[in-house]
Amino acid sequence: MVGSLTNSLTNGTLLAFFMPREGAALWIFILGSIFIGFLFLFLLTQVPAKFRKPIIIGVTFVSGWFYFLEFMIPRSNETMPLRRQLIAAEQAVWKAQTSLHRAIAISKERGSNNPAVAERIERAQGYAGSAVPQIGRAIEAVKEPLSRANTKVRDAELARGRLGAVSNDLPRDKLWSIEVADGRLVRAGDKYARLERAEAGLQSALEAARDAESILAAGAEADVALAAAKLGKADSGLRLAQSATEENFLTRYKEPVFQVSLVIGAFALGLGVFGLASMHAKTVLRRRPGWLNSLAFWIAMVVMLLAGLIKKYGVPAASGVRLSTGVYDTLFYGALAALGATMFSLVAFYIVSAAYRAFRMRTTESALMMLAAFLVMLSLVPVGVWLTGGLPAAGFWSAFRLENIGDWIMKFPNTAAQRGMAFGIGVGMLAMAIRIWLSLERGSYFDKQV
Amino acid sequence: MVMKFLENLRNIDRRIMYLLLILVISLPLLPQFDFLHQDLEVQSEVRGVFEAVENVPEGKIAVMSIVWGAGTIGENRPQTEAIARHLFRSKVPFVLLSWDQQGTSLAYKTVNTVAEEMGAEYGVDWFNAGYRVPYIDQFLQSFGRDVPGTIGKDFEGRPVSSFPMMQDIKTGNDIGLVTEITPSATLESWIAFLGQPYQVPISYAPTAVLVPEGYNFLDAGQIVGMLPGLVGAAQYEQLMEVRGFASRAANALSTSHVLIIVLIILGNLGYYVSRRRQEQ
Repeated sequence: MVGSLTNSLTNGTLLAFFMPREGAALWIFILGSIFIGFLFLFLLTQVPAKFRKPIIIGVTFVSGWFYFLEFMIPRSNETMPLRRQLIAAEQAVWKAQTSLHRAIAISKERGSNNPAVAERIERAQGYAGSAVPQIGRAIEAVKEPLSRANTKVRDAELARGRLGAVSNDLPRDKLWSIEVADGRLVRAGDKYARLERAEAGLQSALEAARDAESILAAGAEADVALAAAKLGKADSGLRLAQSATEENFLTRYKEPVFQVSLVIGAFALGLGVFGLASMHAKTVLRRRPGWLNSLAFWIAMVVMLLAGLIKKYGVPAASGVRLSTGVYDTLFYGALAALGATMFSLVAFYIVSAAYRAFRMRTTESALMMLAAFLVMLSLVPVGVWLTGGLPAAGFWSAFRLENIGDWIMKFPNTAAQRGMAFGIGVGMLAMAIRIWLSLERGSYFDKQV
Repeated sequence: MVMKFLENLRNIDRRIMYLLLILVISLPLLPQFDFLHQDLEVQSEVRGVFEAVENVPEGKIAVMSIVWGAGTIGENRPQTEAIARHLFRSKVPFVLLSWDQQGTSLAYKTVNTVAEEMGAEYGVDWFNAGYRVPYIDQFLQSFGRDVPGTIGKDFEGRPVSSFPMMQDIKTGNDIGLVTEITPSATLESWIAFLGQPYQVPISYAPTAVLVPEGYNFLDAGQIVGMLPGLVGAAQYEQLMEVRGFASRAANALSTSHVLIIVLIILGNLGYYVSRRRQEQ
């Protein structure tokens, strides 16, 4: 059984399960899924408490494995020669681009006549020159898998043609075979289209790299910016080709897995609404403290739901506008949106109060922080521009204009601090992700016995 | 007497502060206070967004990603309005994609108002893809590979293929600009799944509180520009020579910043006097 499942997974037969369905088959699929879902939930409730946590840990672990393996498993061998050529071409284009960017920077700093500019351009020309044959070899390398993919499409078409048209009186196994053949045809077509896109990307990259090489042949007189733009285009073409080769046998399941996660998410949303509604209903029925708030929740939910449904499905008035549009818009824009904005705007009052109480110059550090805050606040608003508007717009004194000081604070000290924090957060997130994946993290989920 | 007064500045009644805040925010919004208007210094990052819109190649579309809802309407709506106006003016067709249930309707209403004002046609100049469930990473991976297939239908359930502006749009290579208008940290997904693989320029319009983080991406060249909060929208309006809500609100922002600074100075003055008296 495990062998059969592995075969289905690697040759893509399992994808047929996720194929779009129509008519009766769709309804059977939906009802069947709901039935299986409820059955699964029922069985979970029957499992002894001590086994529930290991089950949840196991499911979390296996789900994590899918994305881990998809990332780690090497891509298909078929496109390996193409990938090798692509990596070499990308490196050459990247080096040429870097040399040109450096040439542009040196030209700005020390002038375009500086010998270092010509040297960088010459270097870039060499790299662009080596990129052209590399891309040419990549085009050669894509031809063989493209031809094989074409053959597979034709074979899949023939196999599908032999099975005939779909009709309701066909036996179940025959319908299943058709579904599998359809799946194979779609996948073969998809692969062919991807390789075709790769070839188109490579052709565009080749043309752009040749253009860049000929522009750079003018030496120090070359239009460096144009050549850099051409190399950028070549890089885009190579990236397109690369994206077409990045696939292993699990990649094709990413889309269905995404769809499954969407469905689970929708269930979670439904469960959340149900939980909220039942909690407030109990509060109202038992007249617990604050039951009026719960009643307000119920009234708001039912009225908004009805207004939305009538707006969508209600009878249009003579003018073509649905009768309930006004009610819905009043509730949505007049009440819900206005309340949301009001809630958030309260933050402004807290900020004023907190800034007044917390910003005290107790230490040198707090004084520095306050000074930076003053300068940035003033630099962003018209009054700040007005305050130092008398200083010249260029030259040494322009650095003391408030907008320039604020700009400097945000772009240099702020960016440095933010980057440090980003690294720290990144490492922390990685550690946390591994802990959650391995179910080592204790949170609200496991604080109580599941 | 004077010392006592100065010492009391340490503890100004919060109701007085709230009242002052209401006054300094609401009064500058009135037309009678238009004399307060002062031109802003347009920051280079705002100019970057402006130039990115101007340079969208012909045949490509822009994508306006809406992550905001009612809570940040004060900052994000003027940004949306300013960028939509510029896209319409530059004849760059764009897709409105929303990740917030409330933001879907609010952004649609905002853009629709600008479209009516500028005579833009739905389906030709702009397209509303409606609300998308917030699995942005997975969505964008598919979106780059197959734009029409991932969007599927517009907000009223009409197929993408029925709209003229979407006829030649296939992959991420057909997108000329993405503008992320957001109060959340969602920019990384656009950079990772669309900006880098398809070399799509990304511009960023966050709320003011997210602006410090945005400078990392700006410095790294991962975004082409940024509208820093409401001030960014006001600067953008100034670049377009339009005086909308953001320009008026910039005055209110200015007066409120001055109020905060004055209050902090007064608080420190009271703190300093009180400490001196204690030492004596």
